[in-house]
Amino acid sequence: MNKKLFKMIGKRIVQSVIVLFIVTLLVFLLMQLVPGDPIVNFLGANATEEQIAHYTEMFGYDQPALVQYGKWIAGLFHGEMGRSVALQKDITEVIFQRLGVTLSIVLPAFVLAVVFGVVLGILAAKNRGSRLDTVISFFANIGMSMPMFWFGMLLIMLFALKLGILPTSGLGNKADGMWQYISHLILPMTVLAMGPLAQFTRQTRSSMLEVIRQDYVTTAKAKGVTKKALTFRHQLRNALIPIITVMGVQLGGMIGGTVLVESIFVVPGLGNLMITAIKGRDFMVVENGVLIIAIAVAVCNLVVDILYGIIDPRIRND
Amino acid sequence: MKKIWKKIKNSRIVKVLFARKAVVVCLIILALMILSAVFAPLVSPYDPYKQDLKSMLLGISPEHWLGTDPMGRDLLSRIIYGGRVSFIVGLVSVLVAGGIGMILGLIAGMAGGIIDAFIMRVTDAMMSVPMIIMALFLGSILGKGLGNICLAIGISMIPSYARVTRGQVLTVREMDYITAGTLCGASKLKNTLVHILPNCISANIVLMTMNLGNAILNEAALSFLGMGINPPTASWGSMVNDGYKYMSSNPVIAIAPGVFIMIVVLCFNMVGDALRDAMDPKLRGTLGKKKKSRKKETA
Repeated sequence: MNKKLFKMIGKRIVQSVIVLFIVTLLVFLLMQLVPGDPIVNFLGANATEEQIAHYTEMFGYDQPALVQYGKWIAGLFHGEMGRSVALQKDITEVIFQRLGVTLSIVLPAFVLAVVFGVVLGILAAKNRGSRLDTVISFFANIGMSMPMFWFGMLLIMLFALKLGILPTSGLGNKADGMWQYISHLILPMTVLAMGPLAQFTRQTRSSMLEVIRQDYVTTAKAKGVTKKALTFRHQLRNALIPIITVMGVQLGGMIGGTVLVESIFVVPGLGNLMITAIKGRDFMVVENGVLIIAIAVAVCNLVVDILYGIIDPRIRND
Repeated sequence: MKKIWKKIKNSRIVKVLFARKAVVVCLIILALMILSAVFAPLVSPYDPYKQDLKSMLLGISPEHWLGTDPMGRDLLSRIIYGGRVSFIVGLVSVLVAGGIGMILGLIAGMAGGIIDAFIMRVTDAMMSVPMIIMALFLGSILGKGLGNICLAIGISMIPSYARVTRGQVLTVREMDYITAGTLCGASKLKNTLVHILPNCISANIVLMTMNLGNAILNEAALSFLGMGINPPTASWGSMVNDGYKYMSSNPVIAIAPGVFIMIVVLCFNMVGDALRDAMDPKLRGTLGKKKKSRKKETA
C-alpha cells in the first residue's frame, strides 16, 4: 500500500519538475517582450552610453537570449539566481529573506482560514436552513466578494487609526518583544485569510451537505454512533476531498495575494519585491520571483495529492 | 416569437434562477448598475473629470451625494463612470479567457497525443503562477490601459477554461451519438463543431459567470497597485487608492468605491452560483425539497 503511495508521489514530483521547467521557459520568453531596460532604469536618464554599455555587459544583458537563459538555469542548479540590478545584491539572498517574511504571514493566515472555515462550514451544514446558516453563508459570500486591499484599508482605519491598538504598517522586530512582532502580523494575516476563509466555509458547507444525505450516514446513525464520531469520522472525512482541493488552490492564491497585502501594510516580503521589480524592470528578480512562487504552488499541489492518497484509499490504489 | 418566450419562461434555468429571491434581487441590482454605467452621461449629476478646486474634499451633501474627491470632482459621478471600466473589464476578459480557453481545450481534447500533452503542460505552468501575479506580469508586458488590462486578466484566466473544455470533450467524445455522426459520414471537424462544441458551452458559461466577479476584483487590484487603468479615467480600484491618503480626514472617498466593487462582485457570484446549481444535473429535483424544508422552518 505504501509502495503505491510512494510511486504516486514520485510520479507527481517528476511532473512538477517538468511544469516548473516550462514555467522558467515561459517567464523568460515573456520577459524578453517586456518594454524597458533594467540597466537604463537603474542608472537613470543622466547615464552616459558608456556607463550603460559597461553595466549591460557586467550583468550579461548583452548576450543572446539563449545564452542568458542557459546561464540562469545552470546557475539555479548551483543555487545561484544572479544579481539584482536595482538592489545591487545577490538575488538568492534577497529572495529567501523576503520569502521568510511572506511565509510568516501566509502560513498563520492559512491555518486561521482552515480552522475557522471548516468549523463554520460544519456549523452551517449541521444547522441547514437555520438563522445561523443564513448568517454564516451571508458573511461567507461577503468575504469572497470583498476587495482585499479595501478590507485591509478598513481594518487600518478601525484598529490602527480609530482605536490605536494595532500598528498601521511595517514589520515588528522580534528584539522588541513578542507582542511587537505579533501585533504587526495580525492585520495583514486577517486580510489575507478573509477570502480563503470564506471559500473554505462555503466548500465545507456544500460538501458536508452532500455527505449528510448519504446512506452510510443513516446507517451509522441507526447503529447508534455518537454525534461526534458521526460528524468527524463518517461525514467530515468523506467531505474532505473537495475541501482539500480548494485548500491547495487557495494556498497558492494566498501566496499571490501577498502582493496586495504587502503593499497595503508596507511589509518587505516577496510580493512587495515582485512589484518593485516589475515596475523597475529588474528582469532577473522577476524571473526568479515567479519561479519561487511557482515552486511554492507546486509543493502545495504535491502535498494536496499526498493528502488525497492518505485520506481516500481509493485514490491511492488508482 | 410567443413560442420562444414560452420556452424561455418554462426552461429549468430561468425557473431555478427566479426561484431564489436573493438571486432576483442581485439581478435587479446588476441591471440597474449596468444601465447606469451604459447611460452614465445621462445619469451622473456632474462631469466626472471636471476639477473644481474650490470644492475639494467636500463631505456628503444634497449637492454632492457622496462628497467630492481631492480634486473637487464629484464622487458619485466618478463611481458611475468607474462602473463602465469594471463591467467592460469583467465581460471582455471573461470572453477572451472563455474563447481562447475553449479553443485550446477543444484542440487538446480532440487531437490528443503530443498536442494535448503540450497544451496541458503549458496550462499547468500558467496555473502554477497565481492569477494576480500572472496578470501583473502580463500587464507589464502589454502596458496600461483598458484594452491591455482586459487582455492581461483574460489571458491569466485561460487555463481553467481550457481544462474544463478538455474534460468535457473527453466525456462527450465517447458518446454514442458521436459514433453515429462518424458513421453518417461526418468529418472530425464537423463532429467537433456541431456535436462536441455545443456540449462544452454550458459548463463554460457557468465558469464565465462565476469568474466575472474575479475579473472585476483583479482589475480593481491592478488599478489599486497603479498598474491598471490610466488616470484620470475613473476606476473603482484606483479610486480606493486615491482615497487611501485621506483615510482619516475623509474616509468616504476610499470606502464608497470599495462598497460598489463588493456589491457588484457579490451579485455576480450569487448569480453564478445559482446558474451552476441550475445547470448541475446532480442537483436536479432538489430545488422543490429545499423550498419545502424552508417553509417548515419558518413555520
